[in-house]
Amino acid sequence: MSTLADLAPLVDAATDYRAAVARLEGAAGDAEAAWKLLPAALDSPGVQIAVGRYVGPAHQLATALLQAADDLHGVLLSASASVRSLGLQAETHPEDPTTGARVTSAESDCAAAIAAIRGGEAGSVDLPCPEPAPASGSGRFLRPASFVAPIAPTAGLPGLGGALVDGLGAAETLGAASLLGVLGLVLSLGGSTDASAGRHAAKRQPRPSADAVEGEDYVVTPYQPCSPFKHGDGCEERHLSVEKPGDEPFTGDRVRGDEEPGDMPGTESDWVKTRARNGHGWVYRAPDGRTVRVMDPAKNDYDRRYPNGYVVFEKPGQGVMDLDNLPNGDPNLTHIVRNPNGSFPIPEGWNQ
Amino acid sequence: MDAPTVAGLVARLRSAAAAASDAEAAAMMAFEELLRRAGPYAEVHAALAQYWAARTGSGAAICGHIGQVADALREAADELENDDRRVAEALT
Repeated sequence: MSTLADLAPLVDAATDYRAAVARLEGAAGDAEAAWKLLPAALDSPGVQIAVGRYVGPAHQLATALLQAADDLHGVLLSASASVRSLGLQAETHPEDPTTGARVTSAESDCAAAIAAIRGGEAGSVDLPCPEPAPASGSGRFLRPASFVAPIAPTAGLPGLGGALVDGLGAAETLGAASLLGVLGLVLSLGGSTDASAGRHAAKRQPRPSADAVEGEDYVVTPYQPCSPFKHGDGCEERHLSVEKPGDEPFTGDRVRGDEEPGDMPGTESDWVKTRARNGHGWVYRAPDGRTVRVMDPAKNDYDRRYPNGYVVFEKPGQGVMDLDNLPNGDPNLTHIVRNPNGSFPIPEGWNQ
Repeated sequence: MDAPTVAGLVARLRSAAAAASDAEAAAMMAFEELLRRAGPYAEVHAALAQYWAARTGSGAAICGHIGQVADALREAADELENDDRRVAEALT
């Protein structure tokens, strides 16, 4: 077994790796920054899904990967310095019998420090990654032709090399077919089910035929009127199968939408009220970070899916809540539509 | 400064997705080189292999989400464009 002679080449490679991951983090950060420029007037359920499911978690993952790459670089840099110091000591005291053992110990310490690094592991970020599926053709993660999966020593960790090869293979199998599946998932904007997501990939085609829609539970968003232009003649009222929040009879008092904290339902007097980014509503923020976003009725290019406006309840660290006061990733259940008099239901237990 | 449009933001997201894709490929190649150079050092190599497997083992660490985001926003843009078209048709 070789002992550590000079880790400088490893440090150089780790530097390159860290730089690449930093570019990945930068790209993910750009994506998130781009979304933040989106006018609130364009803040639709689909955009909410895009951000909540993908933009935010992707940036979070990239940041964690960069932290891990930083740590890895630091460990190798430190180990390299230790080894260099040991080498100098060996030159000064060639008769020292402990030098060899100390070098071996340095290698073990370095390996242990690398193994302890955390950040960006699979599953640490809640991204809806598709299951790798066998696919032919080239994928965007097809590794370079020169890539050779490492088969070098994996002593002390049986099967590790195999796991690595499997992992790389999994990435490679993310070819065109699986990406299409992923696209289907994304295209299930606004209330479709995962089961129907694959079918929704076809929604991007210009005007699907009636046959393509007939007989299917083709729900684009339960509260959005279907358009024959987009969804085909088969899109009728019967497809709007889900009762929307706030559809129940209402008896509440009229709500203008610009009430002061405490007067606005769902808020307390010590909350802070600020204008929504697009000026089409108000955001009420509690001292504990909870927010209630009350959006005005639709105007001109504003979201016509909510003619009376809508309300979003959000808790820090949990996200947006449905009427059961539970975090919910379905914007159709978290964009609470306002009644014609501006009132709206409040999640059960919201004020407790 | 012009107000941001969905189309402009989609373009920016697509650019970010392309940059992310390039960065992912570069990261894979760099780590390949790191593993190659660590080959002579069994323990360090094993630890590096474990490090890499943890971040790629299921494909979750690198699986193109940013590109999906751009598609999602494009879909949102399509939605808005279709809304506008429906309104225009209703008025004519």
